[in-house]
Amino acid sequence: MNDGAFVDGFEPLAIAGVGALDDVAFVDVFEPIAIAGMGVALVILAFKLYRKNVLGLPPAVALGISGFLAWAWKYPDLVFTPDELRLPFEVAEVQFFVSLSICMTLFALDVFIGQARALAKAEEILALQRAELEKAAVMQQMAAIIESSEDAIIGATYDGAIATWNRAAETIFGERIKAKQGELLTSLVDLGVQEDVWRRIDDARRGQRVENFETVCERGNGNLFDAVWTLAPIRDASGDVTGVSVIGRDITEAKRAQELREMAHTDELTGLSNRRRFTLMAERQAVEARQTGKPFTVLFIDLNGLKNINDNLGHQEGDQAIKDAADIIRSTFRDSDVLARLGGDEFCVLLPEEEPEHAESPIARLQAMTDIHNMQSSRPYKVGMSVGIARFDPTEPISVEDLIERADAAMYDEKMSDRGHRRYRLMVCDDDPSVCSLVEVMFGDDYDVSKAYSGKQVVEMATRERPDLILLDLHLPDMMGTEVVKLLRNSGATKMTPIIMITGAGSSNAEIDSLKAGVDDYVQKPFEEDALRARMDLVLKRSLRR
Amino acid sequence: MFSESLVQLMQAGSLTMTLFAAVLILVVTRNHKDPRTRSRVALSMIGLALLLFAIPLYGEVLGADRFQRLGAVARIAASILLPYGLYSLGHHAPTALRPEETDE
Repeated sequence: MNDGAFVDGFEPLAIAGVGALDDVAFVDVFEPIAIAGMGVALVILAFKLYRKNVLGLPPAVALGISGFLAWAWKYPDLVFTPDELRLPFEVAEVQFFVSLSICMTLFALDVFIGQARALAKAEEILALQRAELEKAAVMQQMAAIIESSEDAIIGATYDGAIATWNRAAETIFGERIKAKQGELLTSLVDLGVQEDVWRRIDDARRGQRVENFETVCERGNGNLFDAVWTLAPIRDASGDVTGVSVIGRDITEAKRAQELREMAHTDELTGLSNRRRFTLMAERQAVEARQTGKPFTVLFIDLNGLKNINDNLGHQEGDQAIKDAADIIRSTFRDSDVLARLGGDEFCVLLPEEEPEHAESPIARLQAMTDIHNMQSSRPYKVGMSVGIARFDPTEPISVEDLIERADAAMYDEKMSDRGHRRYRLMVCDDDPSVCSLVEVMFGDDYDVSKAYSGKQVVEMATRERPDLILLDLHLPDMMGTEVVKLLRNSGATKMTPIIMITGAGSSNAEIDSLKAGVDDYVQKPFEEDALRARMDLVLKRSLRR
Repeated sequence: MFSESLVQLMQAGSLTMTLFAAVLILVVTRNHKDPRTRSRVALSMIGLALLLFAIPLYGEVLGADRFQRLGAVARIAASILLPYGLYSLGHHAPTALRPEETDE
């Protein structure tokens, strides 16, 4: 056991140790006492370190067992009384070290796990702190945004009482808002709209958002101003509504500017767009058409007979005719179409979208609406419109001015063509049925002829049917033709209907009286067909031109 | 019950385990965020105590009977140093080695 060179190398030291301690008998006595003392100390330490939370339960138990085994190691007789359980002291020593190593390993693991947990917790705390800092920075920024906002931002309690506000609110409402703290939000608005505003606040309290609500507010000096409010519920973390926030903006200037813009782009008489806006919209449409390749259409509409109405019925009626025409146009076209009055009796319509293939043409629709209007209207004139159409072809683009000019030219052509082809309604009134029949035979191919045989009848029929031209006999059984003319001229429906007086009387007085009564021309019997036709065309043309 | 060589082997092995545990504590302590010199001194004392325990054991394993007397003295010293080292470690542990208290 003690053989070998390695062991021999330690021999001098061993000899020195033995030599030094050989005579010291107390070593043999003191060693077990020291080990036993260590055992006691370890047991006490295990308890104390566990109490101080330095050791967890497993390492503390291991340390306590170590202490116990230290006794078992040196005083087996004291510890293990039963012989069958007695261990050799070397084995007890081994157990002591194993137990001690278990204790220390568990302690190291505890420390390691504790460190890992601490590290994780530190990271968590760091993340929380970082989040708090970020939140604080965001809150600070939000506060700065609210304070520097030009919109008044007001916070109210759930009851609608003013609680907080930003600087802009003080600017808009003045110092008055400070005095209003604790009062209802409605105290900031005009008395007349308070009920309406409270309804909106109530909506916000119920969790709804009320956006861009226009109202009238009161400044500190008592002046009223237009404002737009956005009301939103303020919710707590659980989602319950705890108050109401108001973002208010003074829109007085904006509204005035908008009104001015509207005025600059709107025709005052009809409410349609004016030439400026129409041109702008058409130019925009032309740009879009070039980009998308989709064509669009422009209608040029001319109100017929405006001059006639102005001259005979006055400018008030003329304005009314323009308004009627605008109403007809408005009811004919879609909201997406651009309707404009270019000036005088000229209107323009921009149709951005192509008409469906099987749909009625816009011109036919306009004509139908005009007819309906004329049938239902009791005005002293009939509204008539000539329409020209021009199409913007993106493959061959032209300027908007040229496009309008083309539509205008088309309208003029249509007007001329209309005069050549349109069947006018002719009413002939003579007590002699043969004259009526003769007129029907002569002009039945070109005119829709209706016949009357007395003054009373012609007045009734003309008022009801509103013919384009009346041929009137001077001598009627119930009254003179001049009296009929006066009656017709006094009736709103026939005030402007052209009348040609027909008579067999050769006196010049009859002609003068008739002209004075308001007839447009005078023809003597027997009349030539061509001469009468020429006069009728002339009177109709003059009427249309007017 | 146990052969002598087996017991010696077990003795050496257990002591190696203990030394390894001491090294483990050293490593853990070294990485601790708030190491204190005293806790290191305490650990050194524990390590020294374990080495002192090792002298007679390894002496026996290696077959040096003459270490027996020196070993006894070494054990006496180790039996003083080990609890003192542990006490010192525990005393300074609150700031250095005490596992962080968690909310759990």
